[in-house]
Amino acid sequence: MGAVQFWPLAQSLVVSFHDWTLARSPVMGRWVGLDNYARVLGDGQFLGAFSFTLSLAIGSTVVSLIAGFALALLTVGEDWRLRSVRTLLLLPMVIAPVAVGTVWRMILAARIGPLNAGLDAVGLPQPNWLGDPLLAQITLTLIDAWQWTPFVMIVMAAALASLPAEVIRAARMDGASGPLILRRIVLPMVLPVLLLVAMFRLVDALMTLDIVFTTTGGGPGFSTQTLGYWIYVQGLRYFNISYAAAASWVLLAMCLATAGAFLVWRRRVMRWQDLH
Amino acid sequence: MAAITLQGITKTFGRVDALSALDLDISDGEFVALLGPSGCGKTTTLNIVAGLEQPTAGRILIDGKDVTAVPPTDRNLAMVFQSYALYPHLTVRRNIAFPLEVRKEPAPQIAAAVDRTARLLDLGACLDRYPRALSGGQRQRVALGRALVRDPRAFLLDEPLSNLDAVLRLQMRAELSRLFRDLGATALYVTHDQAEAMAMADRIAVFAKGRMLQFAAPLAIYRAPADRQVAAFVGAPPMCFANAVVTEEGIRAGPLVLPCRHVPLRPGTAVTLGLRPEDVLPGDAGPAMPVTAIEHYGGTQVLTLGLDGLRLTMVAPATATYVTGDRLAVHVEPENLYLFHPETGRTIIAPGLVLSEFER
Amino acid sequence: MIRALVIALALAVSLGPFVVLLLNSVRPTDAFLAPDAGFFPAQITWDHYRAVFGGDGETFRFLANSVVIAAATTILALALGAPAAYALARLRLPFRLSLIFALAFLVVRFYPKITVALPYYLIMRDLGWLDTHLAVILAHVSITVPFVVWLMLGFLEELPKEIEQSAMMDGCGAWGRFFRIILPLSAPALGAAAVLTAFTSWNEFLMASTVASDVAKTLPVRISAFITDKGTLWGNMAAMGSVIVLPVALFALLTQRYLVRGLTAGAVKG
Repeated sequence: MGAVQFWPLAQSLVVSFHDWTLARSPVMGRWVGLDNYARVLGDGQFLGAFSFTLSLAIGSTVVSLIAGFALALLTVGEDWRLRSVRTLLLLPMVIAPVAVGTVWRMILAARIGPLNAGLDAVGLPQPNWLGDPLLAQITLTLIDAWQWTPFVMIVMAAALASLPAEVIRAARMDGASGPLILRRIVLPMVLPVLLLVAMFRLVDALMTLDIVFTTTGGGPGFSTQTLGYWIYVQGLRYFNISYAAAASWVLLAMCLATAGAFLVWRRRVMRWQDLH
Repeated sequence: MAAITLQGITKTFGRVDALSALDLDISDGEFVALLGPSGCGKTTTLNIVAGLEQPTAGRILIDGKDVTAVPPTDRNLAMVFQSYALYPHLTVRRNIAFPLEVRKEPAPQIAAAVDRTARLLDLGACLDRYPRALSGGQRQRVALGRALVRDPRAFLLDEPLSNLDAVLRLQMRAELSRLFRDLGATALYVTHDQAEAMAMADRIAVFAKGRMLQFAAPLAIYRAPADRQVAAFVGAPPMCFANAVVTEEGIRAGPLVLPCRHVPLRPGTAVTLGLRPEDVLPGDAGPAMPVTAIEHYGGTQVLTLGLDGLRLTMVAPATATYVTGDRLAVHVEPENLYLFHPETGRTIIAPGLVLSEFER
Repeated sequence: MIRALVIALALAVSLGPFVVLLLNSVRPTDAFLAPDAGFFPAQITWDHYRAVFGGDGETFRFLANSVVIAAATTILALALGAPAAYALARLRLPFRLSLIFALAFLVVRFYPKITVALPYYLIMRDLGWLDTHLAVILAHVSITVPFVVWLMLGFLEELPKEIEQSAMMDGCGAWGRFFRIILPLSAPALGAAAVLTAFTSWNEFLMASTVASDVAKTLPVRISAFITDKGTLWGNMAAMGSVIVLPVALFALLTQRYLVRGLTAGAVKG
């Protein structure tokens, strides 16, 4: 067993290598203590990015949870057609977020994009999806949801598939109707999984960067900057390294707090349901 | 083959003693059954001998050498698991060959050994199949084959037959018995089936709640159980018990008075009376007890008799025609009475006990 | 039925963009701006693909980079992660230590990579490893190893202990068990881990763009540069996008079983 100890050590070495590089203060320059943090928190752009990131994260998570769960419910079953549908629906998730951004940018282009062309053909208004500050925010949220709904779908589909069939059959024998079964029996049983998925989604959404990069570049103005994007720009374009580092630690704290909160919530749910 | 000795083995999980101060001496070539209800510590004992679990205290000796610190890989014991634990990704042939391949034995030798074992266990037809394509009985034999193919110091078997259906189980029981006898192998066999233990073992160690109650030959356990628990566990249909009192004429339980041979107790002492159903015979004297239930088992039937709070079970041949409500008087040969201490449960009188042992 | 309609809608929304991408990649440039441009291009041109692949032959280089990096990452991540998971699963660690590992995993999974990207850049610069394949591979491996460990751990814990106990009784040591029993039996989980690692590495943008500016540039980085450079060359962009998207989509369709298993493992069992 002694030799086997090497591997976790090597592995944690790789991980710690990653962690160890977290520098807080500037490599060059003097120690400025919490100065950077104070500046960061007072920066208008930071606050703007902060609020947008939050709304994007929450919005995208809610949409993808609802859509994903709904799709999972609709495509439940081992029928080959259902399985192929699920497979096809999987695709948005596997392409690089950068590519996703690119594709949607093409589609949503105000004048020549197919979406607006289509709307024009039916006589509907063609909004400037990516050019209007508020609309762009909503659009980005939806794009993020578009990409990750499949993730929710397959996890929930797996959860649904693993439900004991007898419980549902028993409910049916007791005379419960479809929606009732869904609300009272299925939903509580998959709640732990749902919470886990929500956590993954929420935290990942907080870190969104790739999409912004390729659709709006943070614009119009600075309205669609997410925290991730803003930090990237600060750090690797303007080279305000320490500034960016401070901000990124704030983001880190947010992510960890969110993850922690969800895990606690989930554990409580599971204990209450006596599943743990 | 080897002799195995357990000295002072204790195993504690948290605050619970799975085993307390167990001493067990198994001779070379002996087939010992570890018998007891679930949770009594017999599997833990087996795992400790195997080296899969470490005792909290005590030593294991194999052929006189202390192996307590030796890992299971080096103890050279063969184990057959209750779930067979076959390697699902290997064919039967490779499964059986595995122990030899691990020891890097030359290929022709391995092939020969595998064929020999397969012939012994009638597995020739399955050699190239995978475990998932085998029936329960076949899998069981593959597990056995894997144990037999090498030359272990002893065999450890954890309820190997409990997953088989009744008919197959009886068949395998006979085969296993014969096999181990022919090999002259030392074997530790865990089971909760008392009939199995009685039929196969040279000696039985009866466990309950982490303690060994008795370690003796099957017949001794049957006729001279160490205490009430052992007596209750061994024998089918199980022994029936009744609160009784010693009197001048014999043992009185409820309305029944049974003459007994020399009882070293004063009249008036309370005892627990035990009667094996096969020892309860129809008699012509004594109170007539009504039959309250009859169970037919094909070749025999078991009657339950009840009167004034006294319940007895009795075995009768199938040919005898009884009906519930019939009244029977019973007769028990005086030697066949079991008497136990009402509180400790220790045996006072039993058919197999030599009188001189008890001077209480 | 309503159900079929909704599913059809979902499919349209999910797959529509792909279709558009493909169509646009073969649409002649002027057709883009024409007011009456239909959904399907009137003519098909391969100009864009030629532009993307021809010219400086750069795209092939980036493609190769992506492939090499993804492959190397996958192999390394598995080679490090699987034994580590095995050790963790079998060692009887005190409760506190396993809690630490669990937390470590959690942290690595959930912290914004951006936080590490900057310091990583600095370290790579100091080591002189900027713009090398090694830098990107290293970054990708440290991202994916924790996930591999987590995946394998969940799977290994489900393996019946008795099979290994049996191997122990048969005289098989720890490494022997790992190679003869554990690896063959965990093939499906390994497959899932491999597929997910490959995907993650292939699609990864942040770390790759941080440390690789030219030599080791990968496809995702390339496509982003494309945008800022030649913003309105839709056709080329579409072609480039197709190059990135198509192989991945195909690969995903082929390996979907592993993909699904990898993603749902642990999530459902909790």
